[in-house]
Amino acid sequence: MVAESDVITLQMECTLFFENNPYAIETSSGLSKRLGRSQQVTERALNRLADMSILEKNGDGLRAIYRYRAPYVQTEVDLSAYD
Amino acid sequence: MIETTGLISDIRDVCQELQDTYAQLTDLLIMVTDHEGRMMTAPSHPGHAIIFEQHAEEMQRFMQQEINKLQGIKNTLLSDQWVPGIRWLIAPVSLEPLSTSFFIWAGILIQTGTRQAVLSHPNFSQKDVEVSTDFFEAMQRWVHETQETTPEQEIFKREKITRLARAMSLILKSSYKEKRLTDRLVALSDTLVTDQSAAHPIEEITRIVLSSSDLADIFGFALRTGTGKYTVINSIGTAAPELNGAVFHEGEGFLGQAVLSAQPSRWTNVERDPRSNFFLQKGVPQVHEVQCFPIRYDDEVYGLLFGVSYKERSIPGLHFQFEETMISLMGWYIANHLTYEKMEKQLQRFKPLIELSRMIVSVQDAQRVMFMLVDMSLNLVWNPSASIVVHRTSDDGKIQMVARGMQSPNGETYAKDVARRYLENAEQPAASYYINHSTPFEIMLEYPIVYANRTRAVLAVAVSTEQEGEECREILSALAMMGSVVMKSVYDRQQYMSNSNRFAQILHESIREWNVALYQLTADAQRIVQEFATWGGITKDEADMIGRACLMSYSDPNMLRSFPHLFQQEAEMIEDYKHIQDNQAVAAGKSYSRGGQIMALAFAIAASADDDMRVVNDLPISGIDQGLVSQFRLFVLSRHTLETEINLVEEAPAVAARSVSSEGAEGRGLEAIVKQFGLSPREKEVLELVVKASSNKEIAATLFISEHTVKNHLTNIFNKMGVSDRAQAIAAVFNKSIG
Repeated sequence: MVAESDVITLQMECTLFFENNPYAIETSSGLSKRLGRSQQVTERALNRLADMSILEKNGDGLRAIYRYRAPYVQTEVDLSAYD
Repeated sequence: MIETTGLISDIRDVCQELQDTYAQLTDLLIMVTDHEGRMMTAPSHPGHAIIFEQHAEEMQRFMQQEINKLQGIKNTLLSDQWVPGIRWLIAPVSLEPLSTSFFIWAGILIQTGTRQAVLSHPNFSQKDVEVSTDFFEAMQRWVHETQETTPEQEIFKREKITRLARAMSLILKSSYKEKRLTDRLVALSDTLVTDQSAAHPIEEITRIVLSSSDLADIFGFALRTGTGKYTVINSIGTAAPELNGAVFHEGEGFLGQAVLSAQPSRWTNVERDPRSNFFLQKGVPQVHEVQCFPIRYDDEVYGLLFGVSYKERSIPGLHFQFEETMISLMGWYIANHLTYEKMEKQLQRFKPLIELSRMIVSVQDAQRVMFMLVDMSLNLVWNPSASIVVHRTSDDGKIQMVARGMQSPNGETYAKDVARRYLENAEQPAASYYINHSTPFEIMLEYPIVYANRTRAVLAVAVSTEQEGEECREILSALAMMGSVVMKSVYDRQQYMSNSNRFAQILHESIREWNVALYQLTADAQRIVQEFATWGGITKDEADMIGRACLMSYSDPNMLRSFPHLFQQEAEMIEDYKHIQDNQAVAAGKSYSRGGQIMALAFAIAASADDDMRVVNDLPISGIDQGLVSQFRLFVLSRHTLETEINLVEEAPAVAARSVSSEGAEGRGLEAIVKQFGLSPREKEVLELVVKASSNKEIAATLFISEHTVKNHLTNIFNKMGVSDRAQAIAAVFNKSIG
């Protein structure tokens, strides 16, 4: 039984990994090896991130691949246009 | 068969003793049954009790039929259902307010002068088919042996049986009260040791405690689901299911008033009270009494336990007080449990947040910090849906937003609203967070991010309920605080760079008047350092710092150190550079700073800018790392190539179309190597990145392969090229490109 705090920590690590490697495409197995965690817990964390739309998930089960979905960025929003 | 489950054995013995005594006193056979005709004690009679013990089941059928006709009797009565004239005294033993009741059967009585009539009655001689012959004959014998009773004797016996019923009622009530309390204590004990990790422990615990309480017909358990808003999440009782999900607010109806007062409350005779409509509308048939027990912890009301009674419940004082105390305790227990749950949820997130703080402290880019705040906030709330960071990037009214879960144009409209409220005046906010209901995104928790004495950004996170907002506000506050610290670090760094560059430029300009050559030399050295960074030898940040040191290289390092918070590293580099220049031996076990070494190399090249190729072999090596010298030689070679090509363009505009950059030159060299040594397309990609000074890790990330695979590719490349390391491989590529 993995503690909830460990799953959330892993979620954050996965989030940081994809933020630092925005073009990375990974499976839960691949990422679990990179982060030195169990594949099962990594998959759980990745699926939660996919539910939050932080990651994009393609496929199911062990063959599912995950990639980062960059947040919506708007630069130079003109405040003077505010009504 | 005697029923043994209904009574505590000690009480049974006392009742039996009493019953036997009264049987002797009245010369009657006495039996005690429950409301289904089951005997609770052994029949008492000196002679004929054995008949009933042996035929208990037949008697039970007979007695149950009789009891069905006796519903609601309060006093002792005479019954002669079998044969008119053969009569039984039947006395109810009341156990109110419990629904359970007992009956005393005492008989038989045959009034004086009626024996002959009884014996000649057809029922006396005709056996019922359901009655066994043994039993029938025994009953007949008993009637024959029974003496006739005078009216005075009948009155005496009736009084005695009535007194026996009263005595038994007192004993049994006391016993049941005790048993009831014992059962309740056992239930409470069981509840308190229920496994905390069960899926819905609170609902289960509430059900166990309330379902066995006599205090009301319906019980409910409501939890606070927003500011001043409560929702019934669990209800117990036949008419209760429709109460589930019912919502009430503070001050609204009985329940709302109870949470407002935060004290146990009780309303009786409320049949005509309009506040009862809340229950009637939810299918509760009738409301006589409402009792409420707010669930509190530290002056905070988390929820409410309530009970509704259809009619008056006559619960003895002690029992009532016990029930009240028990439910109040239950409320306290639930409040503790909810507090624990809330803290547990927060602790589950604080630990990862601390881990996160270690990871993000080195981030030096404002947009990266915004990405992290948005993504991490979603990781930290209970039900993530949307998050946004609005950051004022400059003072000219432009803002930057990074959002997730928000669609344009709502996201932009909200970002502008946030910017107007927090960033226009940029004053420091009074509170660490604000709750905003007037947004298109549910409820937003807004955290102003303050650094350098102004509000410069806002983190806003959507939560589904105010309750959730209250629960996760602290953890988000910690995240926002972390964001402030990191953003301040980025800001300070930008300010430092800006100030450092400005002062360095001023100092550099100051020498133009009195030494133009030195001015030009230092400017060239700075340019070479920047080119070295572009080539991939050092990072841009390193180049900025070394470049500044180049511009100020003529200055006294101690004077530079006197600038508060500025030029400390630059001063060390200049000192080291001067030592290298003076060919001073480096102390054993020590080495010159990398910046000082690069300065020495850059000045060497700048000093001979008219003939770079010669300087390749004349680069200073004393006190400089050999690897760095090799790297600089490759850089000079590539730089020379580039300049050569540019010269061609300058001299012959007609061939401009064929001019290529250094990358083009590298490209040509690379193509030649690929062709010469038969490198695969993937090996070519790897080599191209090696030439651009990428590390194995960077190559792996760029090509989406593991570092192990990169190493394999490199081994194959080196084998094919006949070189032993990446430096030789790079040199081979550049040799091809200039050869």
